[in-house]
Amino acid sequence: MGADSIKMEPLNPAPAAAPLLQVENLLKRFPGTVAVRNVSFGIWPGTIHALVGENGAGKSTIIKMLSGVYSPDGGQILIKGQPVDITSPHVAQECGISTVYQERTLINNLSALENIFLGREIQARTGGSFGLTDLRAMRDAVEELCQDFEFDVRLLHQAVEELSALSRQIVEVIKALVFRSELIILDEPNSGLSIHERQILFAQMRRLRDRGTAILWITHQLDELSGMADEVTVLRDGALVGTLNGSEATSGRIVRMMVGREIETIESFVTAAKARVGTLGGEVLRVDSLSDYTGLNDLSLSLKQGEVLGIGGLQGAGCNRLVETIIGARRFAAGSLFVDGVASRFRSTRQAFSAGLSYVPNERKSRGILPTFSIAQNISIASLSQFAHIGFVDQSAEAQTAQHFFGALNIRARGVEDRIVRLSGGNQQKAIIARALAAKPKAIIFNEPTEGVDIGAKIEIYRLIRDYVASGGAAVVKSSELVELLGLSDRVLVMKAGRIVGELSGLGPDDRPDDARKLEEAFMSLAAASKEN
Amino acid sequence: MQFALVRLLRTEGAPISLALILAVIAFTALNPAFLSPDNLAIIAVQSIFVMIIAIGMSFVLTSGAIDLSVGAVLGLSGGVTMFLLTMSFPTALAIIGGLGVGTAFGLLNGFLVTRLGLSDFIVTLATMGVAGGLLKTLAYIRPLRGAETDSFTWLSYGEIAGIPFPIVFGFLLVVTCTLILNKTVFGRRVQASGMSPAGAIFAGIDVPNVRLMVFALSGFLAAVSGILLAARLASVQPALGMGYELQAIAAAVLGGTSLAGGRGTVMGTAMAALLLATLNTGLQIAGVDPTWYPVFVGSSIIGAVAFHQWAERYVEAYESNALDAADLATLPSSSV
Repeated sequence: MGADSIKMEPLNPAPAAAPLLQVENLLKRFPGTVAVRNVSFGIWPGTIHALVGENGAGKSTIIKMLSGVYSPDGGQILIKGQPVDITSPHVAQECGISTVYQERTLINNLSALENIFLGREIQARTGGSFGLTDLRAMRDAVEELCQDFEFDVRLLHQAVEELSALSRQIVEVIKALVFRSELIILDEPNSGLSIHERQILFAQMRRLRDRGTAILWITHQLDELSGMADEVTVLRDGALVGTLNGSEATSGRIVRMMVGREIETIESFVTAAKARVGTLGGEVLRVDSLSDYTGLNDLSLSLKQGEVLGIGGLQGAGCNRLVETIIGARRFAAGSLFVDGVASRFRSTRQAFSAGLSYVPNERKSRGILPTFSIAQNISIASLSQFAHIGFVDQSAEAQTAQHFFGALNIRARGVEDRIVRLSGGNQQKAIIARALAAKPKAIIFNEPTEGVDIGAKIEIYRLIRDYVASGGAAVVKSSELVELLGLSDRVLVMKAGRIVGELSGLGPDDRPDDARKLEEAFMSLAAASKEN
Repeated sequence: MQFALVRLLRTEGAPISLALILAVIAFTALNPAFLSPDNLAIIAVQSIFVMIIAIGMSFVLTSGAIDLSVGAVLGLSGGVTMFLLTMSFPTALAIIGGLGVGTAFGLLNGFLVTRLGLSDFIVTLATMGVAGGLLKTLAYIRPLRGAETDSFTWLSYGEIAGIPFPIVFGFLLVVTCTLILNKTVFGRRVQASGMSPAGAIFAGIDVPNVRLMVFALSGFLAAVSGILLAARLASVQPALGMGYELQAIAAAVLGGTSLAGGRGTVMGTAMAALLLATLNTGLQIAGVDPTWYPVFVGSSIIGAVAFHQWAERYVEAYESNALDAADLATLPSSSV
């Protein structure tokens, strides 16, 4: 598929006609598996080249070979037509390749400036040989870049941990740029950024492109590709599927290339799921004028049986604090909270769970999974009393329940006794949802339900949520993915600066793409009405 | 062969048991008298006191905390019991008094750590000082000896079916606590709390409450150990229990409990406590100058921990290789 559209330029001595970087038949083996199988593509100067594929498709492995972390087992890497041997990150830098990794690599308690020049400090004229550095020279060197990126120069001297997620991202980019990189690799640069911040980042990426820099952009957000990417290379199971021109790279086409089969789009999912919406039942959860000391201010909401209530807003709007307060992980100062009509003031998550709420947390790695427990133990942990006889866990009942959810949620694993860390992100997330369901809750609070999962698993998770709600449950979904939020929810509450500033109806089955765009615009105008930060 | 080795290394308490057997063989080779039933019984009884507090320590460590006060609480609880005996209280009441003081210290630790949010290290370091100071005060009021009743002495010298009572007690305690940690709801919650405190909280576990109970258990077990030790020694010195907390931590870690929390084994801890006692007695029988004991014990701990680390990595590497092969066969699009 698409093999004829792969760009395979012959070696050309004229510099302008050759790709800046070209990989040919790149191969990388790991014990027992081939991570990257004969992949070839080229990146041209002054272009944004997107690299997409499901988790495990080989994207990270390719980046690590380009940035000198892994060495290839076969094939070659050419820069401006010359074969190069990138044996270490240092060599990559000398070749003009800088990488901004998905995991943040900044050191929290050093200042932004110290981070940018870490290991490459400009030495002071006097005392340089004793390790003294010339802060002023370093600041001068980055001042222009800071202006380009609308980054306040005064922030350079602040510890990185005090900066916002976006500022940290910009510091990483400046760090990559200050050494005149010709190719910048951005590994999922927008994960953890709010919608508004992503727009700023995209503007910066376009500016870089216009300056002639090449960008290799790894992303999961296919809807953001259009208008941004000049070329899109799609990988599947370690092999190249094809490279498309930006103009032909519609998200539907890319998804088909990524998964190799027809897959539901969120639009068709919405049509199917919401057409089945039945009548709403009684009120399951009510929050009245809730306020706390962190800036949550006079929040009220009501959730009925059979509905999905979305909560969204920009980073720092308080959506996260709100759901964590509902679930008993934070205290509130004023207001009241009712579960099934019973006034509740939870002093622990345990009390919230026994009142009939369940929770699917964000940041799966640190807050979701219990890493050394088996899958079965991870599923049962929130409802252990159901499996207990005089305090002892009935392990066969526990395994049976896990087995039931393997079937019901299509969890792909070797067995219920396998450790949860062995699963892919999507399957881990489904196990965490199984945990929430196993507690037989009246309502489930979802915090970023599809964070870091494949596109295939995403749709499965949406269906799980709608199925749960259709079978008599109720759900609150907090999400920073706008399409997901509007597509999944029946109603969406928009938050800004600790307040609820508006309510929108979710996408309906009859809505057209135009309606969807209008809805997104309505959301953004509420969420980002006035300039902040 | 490789598979058999992995299974052996994965069995709870197996690596440390192996080390124990090696130590016994070595000491028997040096002096065959080492293997006499009397000598083995002495070693077993001597190991019990550290073993009991080390089991409590295993729970605390598994829940993601640490308790440095156990040695001092052990001494104080033994001292309180002895004090009450010298005041002619009935034996049962004296024991209850000792257990009460130990449990109260455990609850105090738990309260300060979980309700006031203070650092467990600092809190238990401080209560270690408090308990140690209180014991000295008690010992200053009156000599803590010479008041043992027959039933009190029986706690350490009595026998059930020819087996010394402390050994019977230790055995039952190990079995009970193994079941609690591995098979009960409470044990699961203890493990989850240490494995990922945030993960446990968001799975509906009251982590502070779990830790409070674990600290109480640790204080209670320290009291049990202190009372048995007082009965054994027939007197309580003002410095009783000093340094026991470090032996307890050593035994727990040697046995395979993780200092980082989330993983603990009562069986391994018990075996490690036996190993420590074996080293002490073995060196004595082998005629080593007592001043050298700590050097030998310390070196053995380093050796055992290094071995443990190696075994863990070995099992890990074996499993991930086996899994990669299996993944390739069964899960076409699983992540790397």
